[in-house]
Amino acid sequence: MTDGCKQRMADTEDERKPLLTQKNYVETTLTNRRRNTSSVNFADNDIESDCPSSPDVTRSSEETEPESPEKLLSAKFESLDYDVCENSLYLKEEKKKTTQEIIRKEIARWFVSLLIGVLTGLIACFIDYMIDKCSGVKYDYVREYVNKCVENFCLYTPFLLWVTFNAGIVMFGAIFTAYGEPMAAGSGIPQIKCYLNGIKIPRVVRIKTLICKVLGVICAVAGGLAVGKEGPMIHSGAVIAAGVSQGRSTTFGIDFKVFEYFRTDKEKRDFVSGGAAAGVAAAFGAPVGGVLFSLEEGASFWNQGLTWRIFFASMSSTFTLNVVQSYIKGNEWELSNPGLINFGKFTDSKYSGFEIPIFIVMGVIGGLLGALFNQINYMLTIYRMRYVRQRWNQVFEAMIVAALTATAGFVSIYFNNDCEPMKESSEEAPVQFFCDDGQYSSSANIFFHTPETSVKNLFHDQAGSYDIHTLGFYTLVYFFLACWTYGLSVPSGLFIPCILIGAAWGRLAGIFFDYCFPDQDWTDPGKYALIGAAAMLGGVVRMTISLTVIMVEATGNVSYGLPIMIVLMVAKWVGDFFNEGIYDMHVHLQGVPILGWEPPAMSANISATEVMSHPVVVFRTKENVGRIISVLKKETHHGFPVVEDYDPEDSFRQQFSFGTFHGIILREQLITLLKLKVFEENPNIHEILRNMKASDFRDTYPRFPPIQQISITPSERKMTIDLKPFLNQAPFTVSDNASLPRIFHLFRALGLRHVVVIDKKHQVIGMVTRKDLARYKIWRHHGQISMEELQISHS
Amino acid sequence: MYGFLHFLSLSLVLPQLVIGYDGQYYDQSSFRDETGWTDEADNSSASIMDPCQAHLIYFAESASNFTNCLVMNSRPFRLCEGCVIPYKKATEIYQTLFDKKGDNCHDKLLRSDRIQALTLVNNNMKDVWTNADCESCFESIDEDKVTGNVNFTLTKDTVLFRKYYNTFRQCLNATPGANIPLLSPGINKTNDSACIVCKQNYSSLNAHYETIVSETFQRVCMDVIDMMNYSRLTWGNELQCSHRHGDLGPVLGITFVMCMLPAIFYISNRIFGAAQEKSIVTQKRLKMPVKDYGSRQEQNVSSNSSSS
Repeated sequence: MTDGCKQRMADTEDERKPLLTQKNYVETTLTNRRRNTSSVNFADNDIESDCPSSPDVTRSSEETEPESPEKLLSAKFESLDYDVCENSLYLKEEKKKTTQEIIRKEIARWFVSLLIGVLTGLIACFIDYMIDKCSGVKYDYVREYVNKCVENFCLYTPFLLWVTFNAGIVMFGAIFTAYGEPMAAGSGIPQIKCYLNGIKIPRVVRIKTLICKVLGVICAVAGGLAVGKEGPMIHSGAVIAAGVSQGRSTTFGIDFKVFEYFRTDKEKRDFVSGGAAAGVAAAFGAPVGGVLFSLEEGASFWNQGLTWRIFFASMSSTFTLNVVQSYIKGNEWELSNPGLINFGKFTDSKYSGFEIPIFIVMGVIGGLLGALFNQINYMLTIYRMRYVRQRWNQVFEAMIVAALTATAGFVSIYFNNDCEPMKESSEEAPVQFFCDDGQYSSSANIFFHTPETSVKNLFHDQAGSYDIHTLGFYTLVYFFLACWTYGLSVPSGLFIPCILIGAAWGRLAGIFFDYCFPDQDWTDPGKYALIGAAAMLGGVVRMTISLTVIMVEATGNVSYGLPIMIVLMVAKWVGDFFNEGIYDMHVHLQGVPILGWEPPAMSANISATEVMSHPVVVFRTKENVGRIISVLKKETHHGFPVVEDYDPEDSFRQQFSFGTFHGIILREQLITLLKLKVFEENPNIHEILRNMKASDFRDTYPRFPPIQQISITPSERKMTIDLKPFLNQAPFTVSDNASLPRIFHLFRALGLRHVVVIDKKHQVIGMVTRKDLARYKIWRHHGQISMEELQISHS
Repeated sequence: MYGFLHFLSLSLVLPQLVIGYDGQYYDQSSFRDETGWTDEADNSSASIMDPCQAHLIYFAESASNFTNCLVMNSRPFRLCEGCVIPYKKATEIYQTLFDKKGDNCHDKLLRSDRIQALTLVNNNMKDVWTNADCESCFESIDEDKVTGNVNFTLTKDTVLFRKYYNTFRQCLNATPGANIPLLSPGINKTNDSACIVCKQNYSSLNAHYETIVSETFQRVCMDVIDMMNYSRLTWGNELQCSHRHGDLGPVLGITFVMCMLPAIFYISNRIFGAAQEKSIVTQKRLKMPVKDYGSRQEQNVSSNSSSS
């Protein structure tokens, strides 16, 4: 490092000090520590050795930052609280527990898991069946007109018909999403990931979301968009889990009076992870992949018993699907039809050692294409977030994409007349188009099917079924269509489009090898289609273990496990060099304060005093009702430390600390207390206290009335509440010089919502919440690592 | 049993098999008993023949009959109608043998070695039969237990299809210049008169085929498929009768309009759409956060951005 560089860094160090002079007493230790680690600088571009060339460069890069939405955290997201509030009411309830109750609860857990699996399977069947029927009707019509018109010079009729069908069906899907429930848009995997990470995404697990999602995805797929139904199915599973486990529907106001003991964030999260797993299991016929998906996405809170239960839910979902599918297909109780997308069995699965380098190269290609895909989608998403905000505009955009999808399909069939002789009777009558009688158009064959059938065809059709031009054009068109489609206001899965693109170019690679090495038996285009699909998928979504297992299970072939794993690994590494996975990208664009696996690197010298929010809003153990109401109305906080020796008027002391810490009280508890009027001056206070149960606080879960709905008379405002019996007396706290990684681990591992920062004298000096931690953000670009702080915005 | 003996009386060696391309039935009468047995079976008199050995001989003979028939009927493909009799006979013999469980002949012939030649041959025959979906050609196939004659009836659809097919062929034959032998390579004649004259026949043949396809759920008897395929090839490839054309103008026009839509949409949204304003929340900090990390100028920048 050059001297000039050191000098500038030292300047930066000095810069910090003057800003902080008033708070000297916590500052001294901190500054010293930072001095010791001065080789790590948080400026934008220099962990390695580069000295920032000039201050101007740094500034210009900083200037653009607040513009970009991913550098902001949204204020609307709150945390889920996985910490049990251990107040005296809870302890009283625990004391009364009998063995029977514990056993009943345990059995109920298993029963709910079974129910989740079965219902998810049924929903999956419904989606599958409806898509099959709708797109069947659509393609039949278009095919009929094509056959009629190709001899009568009216080909624009089927063209217009196709466009109208697509746009019309997708319009309904977009209306369901944009006007019904915007949360239903997209794949749902990012949202579920956030939920399992511990963020309360508004309305993500509501029944309305489920309905809009299911109807929307049927319209989107049947409307011919480049989307799959797998992501939405995972989301549906999660919603079902969240709904079933609660034993009631707040939307419809029905309470079945069962499973009351599951009405906490902690229990609900367990079931939601089971529901997501069941969704994966139903979508891919991959129960193990489902469990691993939940593990990969929500792994911070996990135990062996829960894993087993989730596996049970996955299995029962696959089983339900099998049974229903066997009835639909007319061979009752033949249970060998697992999964909605069955990639078909690879019967002749051989690969040799010398092919592994080929697989690696394909992985690199997949990674590059995936990075390109994500980059384009990123720019598009930013555009959409800025300019396409009105609902009718979103509907219109979805319709345009649908119409263009039909256009692309029709044009590529029209101008690329790739005729192949009809070999065997396929399931559906192939489209002949301009081909001579006795032949069919293979480009029409790709475009005239639902994406899933196309995947199966690409994997399993014999060598020579597709022309190079057809495949090349298809890859190109589908790449851009899929990229354009993801992020529209329709429910849309990403797996199938990626698999399709990958399978198309993978098959191209297979044809290329066949051309280079004729008469070799290893150049099976189907095999390379599979590897290409894995590479593309890995490059876009960047998932690891669960994706490998899903692919292995969906092809029913363990022997391709190693190639698929290698390919996914390489694709992820290559893609990560350029940008992040598409799900993470969307999570960050939404400004969700998600916490990663590990605390940000280079953050060890940030202490609690920097992380925490400082002026803390606290309550005294005996608090005035009027003050509670005004604080609740003014502040959006959810948890409040309860202290003694605190005077709200004493503004001088509040620069430093806020009284001796006693415990934490939550907003919903305060509201319930206000609603029940548990005031000291109330004449029948003893009776109220005696009758209070922990379930009083659970009953309104998860939608608590806002403070504005609580009516309090002026005389009651002067009364006081004794918070002591209700506050959580032993919440998690950290000392003021705890480091950021330590707090981060505490949050991530325990799923906390608040941590109170206290000093040596047990005085409250700050609060740490999820957003305080999530704003420290590590960026990796082109091998560079840097850290910066995000700002929080209203949106 | 008499049926088998009857069959045995036929010669194993088949003289001139004449099978028309048009699916003439395999005719038993065309096999004359001209040469005698040269086999060891011939040496033992029929009356005292080991029943096991007799079974073996019957089966060998009927299986080879079927194989012969299969090969001879492979191009043009008329397996189902052409070889239904030998197929039925051969499989019946095997079935009879197979049903005699407990009989030592059953064990001796069917389970005594690793290869199990009889089962292998029988399965081969069955595979060919099912792969060709031959069952869907026939209403019923019965073997008379006494006489050993095989009676079968074709389905109505198949009969009708053959009728259409024959008319179509006759039409082509009758039209001068259209009489092109099947599978003759390199002939590409365009014959407009045949195209016009026989179009009606061809269309009805095609239409009927489509109904068969939909009625049998894609499991169409291979004979029918083959007849259709080669009619289509003749029609499309050799006679160049199928004129399938697009109309470029309207298609290009629609495509152009479609491609303009997104451009208009995005540009107009960019111009008229109001960008969303985001306000930065002032965080409560003991130390102001962002100012901590950057360089000197950053303070101005962040205050600018929050005011905008």
